[in-house]
Amino acid sequence: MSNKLDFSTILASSVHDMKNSIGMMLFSIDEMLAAEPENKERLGQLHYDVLRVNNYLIQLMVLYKMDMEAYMFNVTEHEIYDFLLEQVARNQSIISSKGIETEIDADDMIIGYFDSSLIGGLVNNIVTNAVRYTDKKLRLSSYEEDGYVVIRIEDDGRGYPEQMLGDVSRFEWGVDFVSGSTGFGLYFSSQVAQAHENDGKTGFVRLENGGALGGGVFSLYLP
Amino acid sequence: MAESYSRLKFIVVDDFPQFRHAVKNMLESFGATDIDLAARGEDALRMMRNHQYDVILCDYNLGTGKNGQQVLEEASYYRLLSQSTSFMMLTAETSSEMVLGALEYQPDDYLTKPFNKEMLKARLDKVLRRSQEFMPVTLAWDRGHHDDALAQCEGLLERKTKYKLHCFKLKAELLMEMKAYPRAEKIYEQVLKARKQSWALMGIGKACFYQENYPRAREAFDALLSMNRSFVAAYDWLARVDEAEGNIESAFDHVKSATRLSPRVIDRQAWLGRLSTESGDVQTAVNAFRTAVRLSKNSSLKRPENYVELASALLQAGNSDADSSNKTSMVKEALQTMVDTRRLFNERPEIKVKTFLVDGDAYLSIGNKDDAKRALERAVELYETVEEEILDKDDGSKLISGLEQTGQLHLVSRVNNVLDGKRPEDEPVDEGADSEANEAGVSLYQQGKLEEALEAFDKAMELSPNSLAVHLNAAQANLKFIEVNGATKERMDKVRRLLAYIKRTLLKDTSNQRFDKLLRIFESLYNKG
Repeated sequence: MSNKLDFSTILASSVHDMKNSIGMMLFSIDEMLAAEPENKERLGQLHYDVLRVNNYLIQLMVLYKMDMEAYMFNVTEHEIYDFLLEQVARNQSIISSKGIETEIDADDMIIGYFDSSLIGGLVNNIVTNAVRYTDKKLRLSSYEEDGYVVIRIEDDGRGYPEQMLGDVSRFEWGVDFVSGSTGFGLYFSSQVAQAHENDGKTGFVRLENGGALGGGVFSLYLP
Repeated sequence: MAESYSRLKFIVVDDFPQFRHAVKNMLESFGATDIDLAARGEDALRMMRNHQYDVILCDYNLGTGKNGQQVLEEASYYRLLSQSTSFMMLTAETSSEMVLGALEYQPDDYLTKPFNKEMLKARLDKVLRRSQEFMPVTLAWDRGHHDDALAQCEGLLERKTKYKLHCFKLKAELLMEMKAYPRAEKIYEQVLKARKQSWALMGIGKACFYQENYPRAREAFDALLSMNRSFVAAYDWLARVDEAEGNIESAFDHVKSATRLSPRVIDRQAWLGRLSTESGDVQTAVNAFRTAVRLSKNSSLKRPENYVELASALLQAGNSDADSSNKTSMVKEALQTMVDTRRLFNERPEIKVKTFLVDGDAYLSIGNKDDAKRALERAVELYETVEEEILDKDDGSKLISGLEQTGQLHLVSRVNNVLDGKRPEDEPVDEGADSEANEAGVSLYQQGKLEEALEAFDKAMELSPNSLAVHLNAAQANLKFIEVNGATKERMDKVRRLLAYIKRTLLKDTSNQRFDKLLRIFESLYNKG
């Protein structure tokens, strides 16, 4: 027998270990925020960066597993309203520290079918980014269209660059594109959306500008 | 919601002390006051035996002992969870798939680490809201009133609950428990028409299996595997279908696949061992039973059969091995395994009979007739003390053929007497006499020192979690305590759990007079309260 560990084991165990530390960092930041409100801007930035590291780790792990065909999909039903509420809750510290107004607009009865850790990672990543680029407002909404459940994340920032608009799956992903968190995050989103299939339909992601708040509009279509 | 948190009993299980306390702080900030902490799965299970928790937050990775999934499985197996208990598994991305693969025992929800206070609150609120909505169903279910629980589900559907699918799922599970398989199958089918869901496929497979519609069952389990080839339970069920159809080869292959994916399940290793024996693969059998026995070392799910089967497999492997030194070492291991078994199950003569039978075979196989004779004589003595209801008649036949081989014909009539229901004396078996704590409990109970007796029995249960006698004693002492001091919810729940355990432990179709009597007392108290 070889005494070398395979790479997926190394990746899995080190990601697991790092995430314990990240969890403690996030918890400490929350405590510091409560104790020293005067530092809320700097702590908010710190919180944002820790979340980014966390999101990167998750995406790295998931993409690696999907590539190895080792990811175990678990599609279950979710009440979208609760799900969106949770994604906002995940980013609460930075949202409060930046004084951003959030709005959730989804009918109580909308049910989505998806792998919650994948879609949770995806939405969370977009929300973390939106919080960074928005001015004052953030809107999460959901509706049903044409056999899809759509999850929208809108902000009132400057919007997405012109060349990114439209259906994300048609992008040609190169090293230049995926460098930088937006590109990598979009690549992840697109892969995860496409992994969701039902009744001959496949999930996808669209980017637009404008929308209810006049900034970037990220729409995830889930079959 | 703060008010409702203050009424709930929580337990947080995590091996990381800072994390445990962080979660405790979060829960306290929501208004919770009753929060227990445990570092290891074993501790958590012990605490669950003594308290009824409303919410269990359990990490998946618990270090060296049991993992979160094993805690959930064992707690479900021993009925430590009521239907209304919310079990939330805390996972890292890297472990969620292991939890998912289990399919049969699913937590009520998962929460991925890291999470903050707001997320935990959002998720707990959600789980508690749902649990609140289904309270009438789960209460009826816990009391065994299945029809009432079904009617409550219907009511929820009529009122257009937003948890429609969950309601279907519970309904189907209730029907499965009631053995109303065709009705359960219809519900699963209806769900599947709308969308391919793993739990519904699993359900339809099981419902078809119990109706002996094996082709359809196979189709459902195959479909599950095409969704995801890591669904361990699908392999297990395919193997059961194979066995039912008499296809041992294929069953062997399916259990092998399941074991590769999830090797740490004791019952599955034992199953693999039995199938290997049937397929004539003695080496795999030895390895599988060895693993089963090794895994059960830190589990309360110790099954004496596995020890005995390990020893039998070792003897078989030894007999077919041309190398005599290999044979000697396997016979030695078999004999040692039987010594261990007698130590572990000292209060169970029906098991000890089997161990001495193996000893007899072992000694005979190496030509040591004197020790074989001694072992068989011991087996006969013990066979005479086995209670009628649990007597294994096969052991009687094995004993007779063993005695014939050794020429101890004078003992054959004693075995025949036992088989004919004639006992030398009608004395009750000395149950659990080896347990000091149990003896202390009995003596305290007789002196009327109930509280101290209860403590002693709790300790005895901790020391020998498999002992039926200790559980019966504890149930009796608790009922006495209720008679004297009045009923509390906690105490009644405890008795309910003890009785549920006893019921599970008793073999099917056998009755135990003492249990029946305790159950009657409990039910009369329950109906009063």
